[in-house]
Amino acid sequence: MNISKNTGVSLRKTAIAQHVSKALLLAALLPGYAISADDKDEDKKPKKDGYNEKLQIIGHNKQLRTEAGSATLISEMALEKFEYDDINRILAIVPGVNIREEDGYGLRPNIGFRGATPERSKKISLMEDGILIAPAPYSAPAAYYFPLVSRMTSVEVFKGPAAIKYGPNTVSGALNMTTRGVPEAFEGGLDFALGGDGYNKQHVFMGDSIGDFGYLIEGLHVQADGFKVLDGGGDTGFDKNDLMAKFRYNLDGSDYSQLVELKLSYGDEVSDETYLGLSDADFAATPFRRYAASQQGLMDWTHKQYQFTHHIQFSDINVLTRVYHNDFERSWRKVNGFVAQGNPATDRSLADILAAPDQGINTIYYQILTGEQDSQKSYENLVLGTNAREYFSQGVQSDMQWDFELAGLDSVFEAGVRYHKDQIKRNHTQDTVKMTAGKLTNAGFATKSATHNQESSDVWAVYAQNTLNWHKFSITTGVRGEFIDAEYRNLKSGSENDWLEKSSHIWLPSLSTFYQMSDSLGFLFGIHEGHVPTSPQQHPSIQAEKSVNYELGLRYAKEGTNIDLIGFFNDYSNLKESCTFSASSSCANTVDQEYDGGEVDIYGIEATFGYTFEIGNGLEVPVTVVYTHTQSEFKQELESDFPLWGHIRPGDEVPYLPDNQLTLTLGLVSQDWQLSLLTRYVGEMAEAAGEGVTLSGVSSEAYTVVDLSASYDFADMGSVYFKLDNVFDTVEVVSHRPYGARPSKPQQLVAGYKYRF
Amino acid sequence: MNSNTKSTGRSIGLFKQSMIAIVVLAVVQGCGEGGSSSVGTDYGQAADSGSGGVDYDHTQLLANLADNIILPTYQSFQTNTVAQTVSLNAYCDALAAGDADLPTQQQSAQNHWKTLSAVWQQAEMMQIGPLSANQHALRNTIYSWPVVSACGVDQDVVYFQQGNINGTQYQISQRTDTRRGIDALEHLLFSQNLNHSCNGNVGPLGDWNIRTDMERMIARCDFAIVVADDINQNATTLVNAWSGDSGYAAKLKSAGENGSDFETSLQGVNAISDAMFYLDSVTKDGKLGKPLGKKDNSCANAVCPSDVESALSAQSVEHIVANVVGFSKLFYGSQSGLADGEGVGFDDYLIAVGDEQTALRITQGLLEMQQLADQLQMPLAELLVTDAAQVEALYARIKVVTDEMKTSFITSLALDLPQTSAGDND
Repeated sequence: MNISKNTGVSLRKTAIAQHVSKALLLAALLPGYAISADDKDEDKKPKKDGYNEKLQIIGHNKQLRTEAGSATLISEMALEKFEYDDINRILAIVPGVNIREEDGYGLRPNIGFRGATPERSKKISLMEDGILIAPAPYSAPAAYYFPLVSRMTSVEVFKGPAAIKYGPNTVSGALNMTTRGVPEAFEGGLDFALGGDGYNKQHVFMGDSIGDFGYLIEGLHVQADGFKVLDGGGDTGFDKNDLMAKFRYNLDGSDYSQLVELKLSYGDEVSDETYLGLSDADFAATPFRRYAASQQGLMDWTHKQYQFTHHIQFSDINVLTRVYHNDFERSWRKVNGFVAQGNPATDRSLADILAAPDQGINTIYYQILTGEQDSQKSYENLVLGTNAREYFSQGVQSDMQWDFELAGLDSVFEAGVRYHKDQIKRNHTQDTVKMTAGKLTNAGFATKSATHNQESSDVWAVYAQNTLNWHKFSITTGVRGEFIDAEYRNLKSGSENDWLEKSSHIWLPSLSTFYQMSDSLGFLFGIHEGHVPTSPQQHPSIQAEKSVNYELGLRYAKEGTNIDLIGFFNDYSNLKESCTFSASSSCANTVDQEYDGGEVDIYGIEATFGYTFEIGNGLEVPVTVVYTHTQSEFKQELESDFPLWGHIRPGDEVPYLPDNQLTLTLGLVSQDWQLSLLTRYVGEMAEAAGEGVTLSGVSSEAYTVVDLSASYDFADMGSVYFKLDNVFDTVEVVSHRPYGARPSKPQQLVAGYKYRF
Repeated sequence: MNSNTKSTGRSIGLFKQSMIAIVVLAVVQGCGEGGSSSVGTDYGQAADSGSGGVDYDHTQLLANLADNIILPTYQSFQTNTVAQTVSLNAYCDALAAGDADLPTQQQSAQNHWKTLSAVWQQAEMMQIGPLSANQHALRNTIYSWPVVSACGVDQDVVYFQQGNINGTQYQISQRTDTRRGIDALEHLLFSQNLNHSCNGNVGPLGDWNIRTDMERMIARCDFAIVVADDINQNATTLVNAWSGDSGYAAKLKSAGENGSDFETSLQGVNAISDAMFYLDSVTKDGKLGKPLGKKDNSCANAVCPSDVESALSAQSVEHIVANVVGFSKLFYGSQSGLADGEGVGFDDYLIAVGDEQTALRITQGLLEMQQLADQLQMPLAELLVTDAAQVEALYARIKVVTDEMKTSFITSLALDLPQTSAGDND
């Protein structure tokens, strides 16, 4: 069931609607169990349920509860509870998620599941409405584009064997975000909010169904002036826009339902973002400072999406087919470092300089970065890199589900095929600038071409899986196949013979079971093979990432108590990483180079507990605890140039993976108001695995952040909400990457008004 | 409708069987993988890591290079720092006394600097262990080129004379690398311009330009002695770090043994070969490529005499020659820097692994490079203006050697390229 529809209903009706609203509100506080409230509203299920379920993959409670694989749903109500724009904060209520924060707003999130390196979320399969949404999921999966989650109606996370259906990255999992669906009747809403640091949000949508035709139009604008203070003044914020339109036409027959839908969307962002952080001493004094050298940092991107959908549903078979095309263009100008002199003794990365700004010649460079000194010598000039990239991602994807009996046993057969093509074209340029009186000015050199190349992938992907229900067992067997033709070409003049074409294929099996011991208790087990392909540019000798992943756990749900406890073990035969500017400034000469890490074990426990206390006077206190414990270890000695690794010894831990994470969500819910408190603890994270690299022995700091939200529903007059992110205004170093210490977001107060019609 | 239903039923049955067959087939195929590739002729030129020569016994090579080449070079440098100080004291005494032999004493101090620098330029090729540790901190203390600052040196001349900086006692050991070392000494000894080099009278230099010439020469000379003493102390630190049972030479020689810094003896050899790539990234690209405009320089990539090393002393070519000598010593394992068969070097290693041709090509390249350098009778900065083709030719000769280094040398000897050379776009 589509929760967005229920939300609309709940807010425009009175007594019954308030009941439903409250139920949903409670459900929203219990991630993974949001749909339990929907069961109470079963009779209101819309006709297009099958289609909506297909978009929102975790369709209803039964699927979630008995699916043999870790899957978590964050419903629209849960998303609205804290009105987060930052996916990093949203995922705090999902166990098994490891995140490296960067800009404080989550503009370019770094998300990993079950220990997968979070770098630009490139190791998870990112989807919007079930379609791969990374700029070029095979050729360049780094998520420099990420949709505005404020317009999403649900967020789903799949780990373990549940991820085998989505690909191409099956080691750790998949993240699917669902956009608003075309409503069955006239419906609309608006959401205006203002907050600290110049934050404001305007969000409107409207849709209707007239006969067989339906439409939806949605627009969202979010901006902030930024919480950082640039030396010498200047903007440090962002400005994002998102527009989406959907047009649907029903072509129902007598024994089937059928529809076609066209989805068009446009997004853009202009943000004054940089990779340059602070030295630890400066962070301690002024954590929100930005050095003068970062003043010209600017990310500018546009994203366009065209998607045509056909869905047909018979009584026991449904087929969902989508044709999609995404264009993404980005240009990020930012300071890359000082002009290299070609001398290993004196050339310094920005990370090196900020790690020891008082040491030797670093002092000279540091004083230029901060604008204390002018550039006088050529070695004091800075390089401004403008990394312009064009991407497209397109394909046809068809998924079917068929419920049937096999030897008298209920079976669900699912299969899909996807033909996909994507491409990245890089045109990186560099300008030499000098620092003069605290301002960066052109040093009089021509703009140079740094990287000009193209990577593309042509892929057939198929999967098939069958779930057989036998007695109390649900047994799911599946397999995924990826057939990848990849091509790399250097586009620089004179480099015509620098190219690589390669083909690869792999079959990835999975097996999972769920044993339902009773109505309230079940056990799950799963095993699947994980795979992350190499990018087209990588030498054929660089291996794909491969692992065998296991999970074992239990689920319990009874009388308002929900418990999920899952242990996982990811046995990597080869952990793969790649060098990006975001990983380290020392990647400048080896950008996108991939590295083999060999055998690695990552294992841990994910636990979710939810319970609702009834305290009388119509008040309820929903409580959710989400805990993740993770351990990791390289299994062999390794000397790597990868800046996150260095000299690794057996037993060394994977970087950016906290041992412990805990999120406690506490609510107080009445008929027409609610108060929620989210406390999130993230343990310290090693920023490099081994010795001999810039951040060896350095850890991000453990931190606890408390977010508060409250809302009051005026029924027919809409609702108001307030939220206070980071109640105690704690600030910690969340990372020393890309270059220097980066702060978490400080306290921010936001007030908003919502109205649904 | 009924016939349609039957037909649909049969279709579904057929479909069901097909799907099951596909699943079974796919599961049987599960775990299967494969691939193929084809590449362009220029693809992966920067790919590193060779695969040959892993069975070679590197012990003799490491021992000879550590004991007979690298450490003696450092020791020679240390000895020369002492001589430099002696000559500077004589020069400063002559200045203070207004002796008639002042020009002689000045010439002597300058010549000692040239000798000291020539030895150091060999050591530049040997930046491993203590010299490269901690972001090359010790190396930069001794010689920080190309990060140099005449303005900084001029400021410290006055700070030293004052005895304090904003009330804190002046200590050269606490000063930035650009204000000390061989490069600072060059400015103090060779700069003809007695005015300070800063833009504006910044820092302590308020009255500097109105002082008498003699006052300024004395002040620079006095500070030069402090700089020379500092170089001597750092040279001693370097030699000590390499000496003794726990010195770096011992660690290098025990590469591959238990407790060593190097897991394998090959890693020890690789540390030396990494240092030898100085010939590529610094000698070729930094000292010739930049002034020629082949690499980014200060003159918008035009020919740029101001970017040459040691322009004040006009020793740029001599430094390049000294670099080549240092390289040759390591390559041949010979103190003479010649292929005289003395000592075990990389040439012997190449021959031992069956790649004599690479050894011969590098030898030929070094010879031609030396011959051409010997013909250059003019400082590099002048040559760039009057006969840049000669400089181009020298660049090309060095490139012959470094191209061999990047390809057959590392492949035959199973070595990895240093990162700075792997990213090269020649």
